[in-house]
Amino acid sequence: MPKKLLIANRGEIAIRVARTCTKMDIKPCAIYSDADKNSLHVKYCDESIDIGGSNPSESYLRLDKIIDAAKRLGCDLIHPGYGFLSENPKFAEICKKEGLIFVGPPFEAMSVSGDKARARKIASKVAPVVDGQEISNESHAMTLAEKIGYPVILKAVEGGGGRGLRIVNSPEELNKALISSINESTISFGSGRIYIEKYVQNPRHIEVQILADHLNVIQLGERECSIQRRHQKLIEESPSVALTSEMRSAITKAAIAVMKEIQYQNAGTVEFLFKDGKFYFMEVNARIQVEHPVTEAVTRVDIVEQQLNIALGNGLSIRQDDIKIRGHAIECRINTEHPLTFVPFAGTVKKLVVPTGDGIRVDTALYSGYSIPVFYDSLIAKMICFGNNRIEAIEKMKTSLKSFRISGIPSTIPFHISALNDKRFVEGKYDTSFIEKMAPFSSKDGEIPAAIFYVLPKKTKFIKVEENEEYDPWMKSRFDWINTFDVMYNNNTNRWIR
Amino acid sequence: MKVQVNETSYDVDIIGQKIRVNDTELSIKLNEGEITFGENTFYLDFVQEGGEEGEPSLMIVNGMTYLISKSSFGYKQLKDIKAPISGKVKDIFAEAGSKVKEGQTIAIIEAMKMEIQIKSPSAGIVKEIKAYKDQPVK
Repeated sequence: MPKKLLIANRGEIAIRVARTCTKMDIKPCAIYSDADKNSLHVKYCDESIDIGGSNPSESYLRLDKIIDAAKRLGCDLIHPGYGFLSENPKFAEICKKEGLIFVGPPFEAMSVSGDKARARKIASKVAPVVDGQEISNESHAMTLAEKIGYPVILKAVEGGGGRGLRIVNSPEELNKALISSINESTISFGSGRIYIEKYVQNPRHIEVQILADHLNVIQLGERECSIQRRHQKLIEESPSVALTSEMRSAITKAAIAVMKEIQYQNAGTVEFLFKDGKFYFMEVNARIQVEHPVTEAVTRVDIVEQQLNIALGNGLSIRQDDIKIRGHAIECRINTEHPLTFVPFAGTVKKLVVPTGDGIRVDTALYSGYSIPVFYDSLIAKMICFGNNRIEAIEKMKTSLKSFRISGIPSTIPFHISALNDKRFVEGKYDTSFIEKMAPFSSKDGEIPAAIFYVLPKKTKFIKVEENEEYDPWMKSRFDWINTFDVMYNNNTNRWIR
Repeated sequence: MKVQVNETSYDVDIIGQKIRVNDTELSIKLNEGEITFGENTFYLDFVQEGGEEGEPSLMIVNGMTYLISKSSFGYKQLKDIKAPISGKVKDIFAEAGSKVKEGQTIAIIEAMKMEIQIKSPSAGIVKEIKAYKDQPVK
C-alpha cells in the first residue's frame, strides 16, 4: 500500500511537497481553511479535508484540527512546510505520540534551535559567534552592553522574522529599546526572553543548507540572502560571490559541526552573518526554507525527496561526494504589494502567464481568476533562474521577470527588475543595506506604451463590461471601443467624444 | 494631449483609430491590456488611477513601474527636492507613496541652530525618500 502524507500547509510550498510525494508514490493529502476553498494546492493532492477557519490561529496553526485530519485520512506522515507549525517542537512531539511521522528534525533538536540563546551557546563550541548573552534584567543589560560595546542588538530568544529586534546605539536608548523589544516579543512569541549581542552593521547574510540522517551530516553549499527589506529576504542566490573557496570550506564545515552538535536530523539551514572576511553563527532554521530551490538548481538534489527518505528511516540516498555545485541560481520572491508603499495587496489575478524555458522554475499557487486571501503571507510566487554562470542567471532572470504576467495585482516584480539592474548587484558588491540606496529602474521603451495606456479611455458608455468585471475595477476592457467606434479626445473639454 | 511619463513628456493624440506620439503616427496593434508596436508587445499589468489633484497614475508595464500624469494638470514630475542649506535632517514627515499637497512640509532640516521647513513645491506622490533622519545634508 502506498503511504499517505498530510501537508500541514498551503500555497506554493504545499504544491511543491505534493509534487515530490507523487514522484515517490506517496499519496499527498491537503488541508484547507474556509478562505482556501478554491486554492490550487488542494487540486494537487489526492484527498483533502476542510479544517474551517480563515485566520491562521483558527486553521493552519490548530494542532488538534491537523492531527485529526491526518487520522481521518489515514496518513502515515505529516510535512509541515515552512512557517505555521513547521518549527513548533510541540507539533513534532504530538505527531510522534500519535504515531505519525513528522517530516522534520526530532523535537529535541527543534527545541534547541528554537531557543536562540541555547542554540548560540551550543554552537559557540564549534563555530564563531558574535559577543553576547541572554539578559536577566535592566542593569544586567546595561553592564553587558558596556562590556560588548555599542552598537548592540536586542533579539527575542524564542522569536524570529525580525520581530523584537532593536538596534541600540547608546546607553540612553537602551532602556526604552529593551522595554519595546520585550513587549513585541511577548506579543509575537509569548516569551519576553531577550538576548543582547554586538551589532554587526550591514553584514552579508549567508546560510548553509544541511541534510542529515542518523549517520551522516552533509552540506549542499551556501545561499546568499543579503537582499532583504525589514529582515525579510527578497532575493537569494547560490553560490555566494562573497566567499573564496577557503571561506566556503570553513563556513560549510562550521555548519556541519553545529548540526552535529545539536544532533540534528532532516533538512535544515545554518545561518551566518558575514563581514570583512569573517563569519559568525546566527541561528539554525529547522525547516525546509522558502529559498531551497536555489540549492536544488545548483546541486540537482530534490531536498523534499531527501527529507522524506530521512523521515521514512531509509536515510540519505546521497553522500557528500555526490554533491557537486555547478552553475549559478537566483531566486526572486514575488510578493503581492504596492510598488511604492510596499503594503501587501489582496486582489484578483486577472491574467497569469508564467515564463517557461530551460533553467526557469516558477513555484506558485496562482491561477487566472484567483483571489488572494488577506489572511496569509503575501508571497505569491517564487521564480528561480539557473545559468552556467552568474551573469547568465541574472540575464535570464531579467527576461523572465519582464515576461511574467500577473495582471490585476501589483507585485515585487518591479523591485526585482530594479535590483537586478543595480550595478552593485551585478558586481556582487552588496550587503543587507542594499535596498536603502537602490534606485527604481524602468526601461525607456515602456514610456510610450505607458503614455498610450494612460490616454486610452477607461470608461465610455460604449464599453461592454462583463458581469464579473464589476468586482475587478482595475481595468474595464479599456480597448473594446477601439474596434467599434471612432472616438476622439477633445483637448479643450478634456472629454472623449464620439 | 501632453503626458508626462516618469521624467519625460510626450505628446499623445488619438484621432479615430490613429495614434500619434510626438507628431509621428505609430503603427500600433491594440488588444485588451496589450500594445504591440514594432517587434515588441507591452502589457499593462496593473493600474492605480491618479487622483483629482493632478496626482499621477501608477502603471506597471512589462513588470516595470511608470508614473504618468497629464501635463495640463500642472503636475510636474520633480526630480529631487534638495536641501537649501547644509545641515542635518531633523525629521521627515512623508514616506514613499505619501500623497502631498503643494506647500506641505515634508521634512525639517536643522542648520545654524534653526529649523528649516522643507516644503513640497507641488502636489504629488512621493516616489522615494533619499535622506534619513539625522543625516547630514547639503
